[in-house]
Amino acid sequence: MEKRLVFNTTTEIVRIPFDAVVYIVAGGNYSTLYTIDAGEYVVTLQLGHVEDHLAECLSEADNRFIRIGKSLIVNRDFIVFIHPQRKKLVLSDCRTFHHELSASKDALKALKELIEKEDVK
Amino acid sequence: MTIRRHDINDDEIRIISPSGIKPKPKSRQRILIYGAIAVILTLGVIITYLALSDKEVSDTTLQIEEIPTVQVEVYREATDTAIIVNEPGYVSVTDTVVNGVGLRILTPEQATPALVIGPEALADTTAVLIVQAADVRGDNGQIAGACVVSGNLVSRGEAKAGFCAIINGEMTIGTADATPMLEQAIESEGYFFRQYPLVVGGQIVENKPKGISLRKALAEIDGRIRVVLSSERLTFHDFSQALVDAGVRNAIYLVGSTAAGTYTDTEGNRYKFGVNNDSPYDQINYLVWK
Repeated sequence: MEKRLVFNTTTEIVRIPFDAVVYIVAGGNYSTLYTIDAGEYVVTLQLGHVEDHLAECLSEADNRFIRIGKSLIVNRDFIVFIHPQRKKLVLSDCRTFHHELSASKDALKALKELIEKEDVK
Repeated sequence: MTIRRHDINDDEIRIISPSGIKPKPKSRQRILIYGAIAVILTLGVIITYLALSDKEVSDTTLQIEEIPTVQVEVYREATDTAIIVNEPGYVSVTDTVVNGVGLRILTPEQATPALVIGPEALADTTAVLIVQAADVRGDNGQIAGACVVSGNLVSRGEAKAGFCAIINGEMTIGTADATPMLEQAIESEGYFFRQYPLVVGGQIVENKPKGISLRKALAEIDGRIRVVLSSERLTFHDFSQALVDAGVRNAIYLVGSTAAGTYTDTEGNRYKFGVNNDSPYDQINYLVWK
């Protein structure tokens, strides 16, 4: 069975396959997960706790999720466009969904360099 | 859950992985870490030695720890008795003038608070105190900021740092961008909303709106949560100052101006304040004490 990101509380359970998570946005003391099917799931955890939970669930070789600044976690598999000067980041599968996000210039510059290096490898 | 999180700035990125990123300690940091470990070990040895060499002291400590258990049970009996009697609730009304500013302080007695959405809440004649709570946005008619009603997250956002949480019937007010009380409110089927903070720890909090208006607040005075109404139009700053002068430790704003509400006094008389214009918003919401 495919591995899933699971958030379980007394009132609900959220179970999302890792490869279906597009990005996660902080909203104070909750976080919103966006999935490839345009799903939107709110969990009452701060983004740092979501990051901890992700790190616990991922396998050692799985480095697809990247934390960008204080308020964003993205799945690198869906990064299609980075423009640091315009502070613009686009996540898409080039078929069904297209999300335009914003992050700091320096963070996007670092992200661009990281992706460049890894693409060369 | 193991906390592996460390700070990140908005201009930084990091890859999330099980091994995490552990910053290499610098030599000075390393010395401090070793020093701290040495101090902790030394203290541990001393505490163990004292515990083993002086059993009488330990026994005395244990006896003292048992006393509060008895006190708790006595308190519970008293609380249960109060519930059985089930006296009708009411509101104690105190009018005061602080440095020339008139304030009416409403203290609900023998009543439990809840957050109710919908204009019909104002017509509830069984409530002893009703006051409008979270702001409703003019652009989309939704509640401004995170809001929980009976455990359901009905609105998201963090427009204001002040909050009110009602968990198991206990009302708490405070100021924090992020608070575990939101999650607790959801899990306990309680209530939560956000508003402007006015007073924190007896200190004024400055807010951006500079206009003058009739003001209302949810305020903690002498450890109890009360509703305070200004009798005249004030700026946020002047209202906050009046609250501090009246002995308020913590306070958040409630919808002011002509926002309507009611209260029932000790004689059972019901009074209305504000203007009950029909609200165009379905999400208009009220704190209701019953």
